[in-house]
Amino acid sequence: MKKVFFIILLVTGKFLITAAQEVVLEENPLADTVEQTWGMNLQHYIHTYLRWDFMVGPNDPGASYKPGSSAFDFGMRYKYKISGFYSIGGDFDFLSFANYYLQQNSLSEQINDSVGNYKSERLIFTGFGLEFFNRFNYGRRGNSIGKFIDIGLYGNYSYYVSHYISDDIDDKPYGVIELTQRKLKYTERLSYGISGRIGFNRWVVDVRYRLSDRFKEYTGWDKLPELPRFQIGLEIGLF
Amino acid sequence: MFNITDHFSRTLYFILFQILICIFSLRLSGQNNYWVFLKDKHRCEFDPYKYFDSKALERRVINNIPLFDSSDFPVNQDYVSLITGLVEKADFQSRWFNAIAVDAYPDQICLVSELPFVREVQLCETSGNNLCNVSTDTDIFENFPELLDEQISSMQGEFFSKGGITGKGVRIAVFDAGFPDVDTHKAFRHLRENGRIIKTHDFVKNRENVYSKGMHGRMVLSCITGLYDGKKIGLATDAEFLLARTEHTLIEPFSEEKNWLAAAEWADKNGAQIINSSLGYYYHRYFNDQMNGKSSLVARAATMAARKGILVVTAMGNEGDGNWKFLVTPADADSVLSVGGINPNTRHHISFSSYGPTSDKRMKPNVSAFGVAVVASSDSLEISQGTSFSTPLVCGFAACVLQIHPEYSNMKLLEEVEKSGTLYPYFDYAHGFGIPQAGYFTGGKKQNNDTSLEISLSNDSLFIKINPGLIRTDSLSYLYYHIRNRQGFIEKYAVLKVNNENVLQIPVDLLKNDEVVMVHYLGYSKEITLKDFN
Repeated sequence: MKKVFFIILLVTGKFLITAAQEVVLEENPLADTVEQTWGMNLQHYIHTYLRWDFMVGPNDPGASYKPGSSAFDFGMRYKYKISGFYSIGGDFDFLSFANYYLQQNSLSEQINDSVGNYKSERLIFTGFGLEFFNRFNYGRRGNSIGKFIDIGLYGNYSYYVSHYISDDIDDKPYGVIELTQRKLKYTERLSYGISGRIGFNRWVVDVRYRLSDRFKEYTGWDKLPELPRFQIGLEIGLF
Repeated sequence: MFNITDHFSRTLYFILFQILICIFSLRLSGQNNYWVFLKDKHRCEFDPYKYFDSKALERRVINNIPLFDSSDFPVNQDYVSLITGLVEKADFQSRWFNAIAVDAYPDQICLVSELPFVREVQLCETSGNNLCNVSTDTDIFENFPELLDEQISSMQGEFFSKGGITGKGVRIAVFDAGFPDVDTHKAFRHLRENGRIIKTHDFVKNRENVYSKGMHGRMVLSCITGLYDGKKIGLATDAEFLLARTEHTLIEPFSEEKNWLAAAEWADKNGAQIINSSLGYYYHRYFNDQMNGKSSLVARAATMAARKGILVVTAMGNEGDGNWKFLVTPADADSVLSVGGINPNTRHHISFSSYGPTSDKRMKPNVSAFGVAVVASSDSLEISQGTSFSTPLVCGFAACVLQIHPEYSNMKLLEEVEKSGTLYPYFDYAHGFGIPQAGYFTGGKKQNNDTSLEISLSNDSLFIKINPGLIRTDSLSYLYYHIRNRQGFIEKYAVLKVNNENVLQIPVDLLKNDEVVMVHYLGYSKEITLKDFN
């Protein structure tokens, strides 16, 4: 305790009183040599990340999607090192954004009031997410993230789900019509699945498989064909 | 909700997919670089007169190193043949460490490790950017010609120049990422015309040509020996050079430390008296607590080079204002001259220069020099910054000292360069002993432990007062002080800009009886303990 008090005095500069002098450099090696526990390959580590995944299937027949359907996440990751080989951790996605560009087929026909051949149609899920993962590191490394494989479980809650349609109009005094439907009664707000990552320092390949369905039963409707469950993409650690 | 059977099978596929990726990536990563250390050098023949350059023999005589040292014997070629047959590729053979670098899969390396003559197998792997320069930034010092003059005069280089001391006859090995334009640039014309580039080797590509790739080497070399339109960029304009490319430029795969060791053995063989290494390895490969001069291969190689009588001058690193903060390896090696950076404007520690001490609490840096310097650009000159350039400035200085005192052993040379520092005998973990001064060797500098500092004890405080007549109003008059414990470890240090005579007051109840307070002001140093007042 006395040592801690001494170090606090050193760090706060109370140890020495200088009279009207300008301190241009001041270092306290005694405090610097206290064991560190926060760092990329130390006991605790926190960093933010950006992730951009593309939907790659499989989807039910009738729920075809266009290329460009993707998910974007921005979040913060905490990693707790248990051994050089094994760590556990959790992610909190502040922003989790999934965007499905729909083909004009049975799904599109069913969720629209009228059958149309729209120029663009999207289902957008905006929310936040949580993930718990196991990390297996391999290869020798210093105080860096190094090479790793993660396997985990994730869950997302979508507080804003919308269905967006856009089309060109020829026979009206306006050229484009856009329609956004909200508070959709046929979508699930909660989704969950399993995740996997392979990474080297900040560069990560991310793979996800959604176990939950995007759609729920809605009175008078046939069961909606399910959207793609796999997504694969890149993640960049911001550190 | 989901169909459990359907999802179970999909989850199973996902996990299988993950396992396949794991196996694939582990297999890809499975081939690694290893060091295979051998137990003995039985039946190895060695003739130092055939193996070593005459300068290497001369250096051994000066440093009292036996010519027949088993660490110079070649690696047993029977062992090499057996190991080569078991691995993917056998690479460099280290005489110093009696070891072979190999590329092998884990199953292959298991077989190798079971051979009766194998002492140990170590994985050598990693990545990271290791050049100790930071981006070119002219804001910090805009006056280009003045900086060029100052980087020489800050070491009192004019004393060497007046005495015709130019590092003549001293052989310097420079390890870097390549030396583009050194074969054409006019700052190196004097080297080419006088045949002072003795040998070159690219240890990355295993070829002679080093005049391509990373420009860092060109900039570093210019700070040792550059001469541009008659103006010195570095002090050792007549030294001889061995140029070795040891570093990759953009990516850093697995081999730089191995290349460093190979280049050091090559430099030893070819008679280098000084090695300049503006390189360093840190968080990609190591933790702070491994900066102890023993953990990294490159630190052990640098120590071995020092045992062979070579002065290794190396950069402290540019992590002073980063998360790492402390020195990089091999600056942590015990017997090397580690160089920190000085801000040319303020004349004290430049923020990016890494701090000491080593993790086992040895003092580093040893000395400092300008961390912003004029260097050779592709066709003229430019300003760049980093301890990469402090290091060659000191390297050129050391070469000049060795020309004056060819009888100096490498450790004597190291000690004398330290003693010539502006702060000596004061030291701290940001500046070491300060900037080396040529006057110490030519009679121009006088150390004077005068009565300019008065230390008194009253009212339970230690008061440090400066003689009012010595208070300078210019911006470069600083008071340095440290408090160190009985083991010699500095617990606190600081630099103060002096505005009046009463500089410092230390409450005695916070000082232990045997702790030393050391103070330095304008060339005067004093140290005191509370015991002195008892």
